[in-house]
Amino acid sequence: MSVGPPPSASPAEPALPDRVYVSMARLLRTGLIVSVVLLVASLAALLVRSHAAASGPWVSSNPVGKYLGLGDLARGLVAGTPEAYLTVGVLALIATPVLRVASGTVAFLRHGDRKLGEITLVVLALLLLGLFVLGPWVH
Amino acid sequence: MELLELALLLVVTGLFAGLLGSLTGLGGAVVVLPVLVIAFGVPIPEAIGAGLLTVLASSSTTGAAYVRDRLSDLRIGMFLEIATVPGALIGAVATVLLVRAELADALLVALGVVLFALVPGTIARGRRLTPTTAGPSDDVARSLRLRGSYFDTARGVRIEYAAARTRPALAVAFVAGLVSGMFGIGGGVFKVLSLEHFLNLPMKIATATSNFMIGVTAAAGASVLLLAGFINPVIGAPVALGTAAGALGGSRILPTLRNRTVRWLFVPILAVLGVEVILRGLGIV
Repeated sequence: MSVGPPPSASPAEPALPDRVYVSMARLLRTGLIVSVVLLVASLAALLVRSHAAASGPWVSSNPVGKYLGLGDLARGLVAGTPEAYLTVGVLALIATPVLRVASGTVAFLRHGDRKLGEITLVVLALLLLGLFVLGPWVH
Repeated sequence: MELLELALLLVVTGLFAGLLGSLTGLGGAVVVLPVLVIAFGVPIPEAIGAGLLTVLASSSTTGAAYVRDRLSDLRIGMFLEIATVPGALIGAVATVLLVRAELADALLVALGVVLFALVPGTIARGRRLTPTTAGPSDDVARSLRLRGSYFDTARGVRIEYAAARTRPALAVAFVAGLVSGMFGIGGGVFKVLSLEHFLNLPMKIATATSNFMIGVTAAAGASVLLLAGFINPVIGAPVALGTAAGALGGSRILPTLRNRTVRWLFVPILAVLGVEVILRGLGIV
């Protein structure tokens, strides 16, 4: 047992520098801020446009279904459609942890931890499999 | 009900769920999901999608601080993600197939059973006093150097820990991922079981590492459910924003409350929601 201040790692702890933790925390915070700004702004725009609309159809059907293709999403964004921006907000929310795994892969490999680097690379590949193979399969 | 009214009610629901979820350590989604189905009449696929959005938002909100303070063990978290992520992908695909086979009611009954399954874990947490020195580890943990330490400010000592029993921990982590992808909840109780009970990690490290893993697990499930059309952001975004704000508030007032008292208060809520969801799934109400 040893006593000491929180930031320093003990000799037994495999060394990942503090800046890895700091930059990962910054990545999570930035991703959250981007997602929240997109979601709040697009939701506000949607409510300004349709605030008095009956809520039933919005609950029973999914208004973003038509923006799940890249072409339709791009057209929706250019046209300033709130639903398209809502979709981007959701994508940003999903992308944040995925980017976190990618940054973990880089950090482990850069600091000579090949085994953990390979494990995180497999996790990243599985996440991309979900997004680009399984997702389109069930679409 | 008008759309504006619905959005405001969803934000308030999220706030309440996020606060409660943060104080109990269960996350807001376990409250959000059944409430969306029971009180708002949201179909189960969209409720599950909204649940995953709340998990993603809450995990990023509280996760950044845990990572910055080095309470989330990146090595152990990423190691267990190799089990939670495939679990979440399989769970999400299973949900899509069940819904398309018109078995959404069976999914609702299963969700009710999962809510009940969370009760014993909720009661049991926090009873173990963390030893200050690391226990024995297994071959996988030694090979991947799954060990670390943190400074416990409350006790004024540095706590050292080393992961043990990695194989059963991976199996439980897979179940955690499956539950998360299938039902749109964080599955934190199962992850903490894996981290605390099997890997033998201190509670603080287990909680922070679980939070760290929850976001990645939810992202795996959400990527499948988004493209399946199960994520309706008009429902999910207000409730997720409310939950994230509630979770942030909960983490601020947490030190002033007795953790176990809040957990005991949460148990009947979970049980009532579980019964209601099962009855709905069986077509009784």
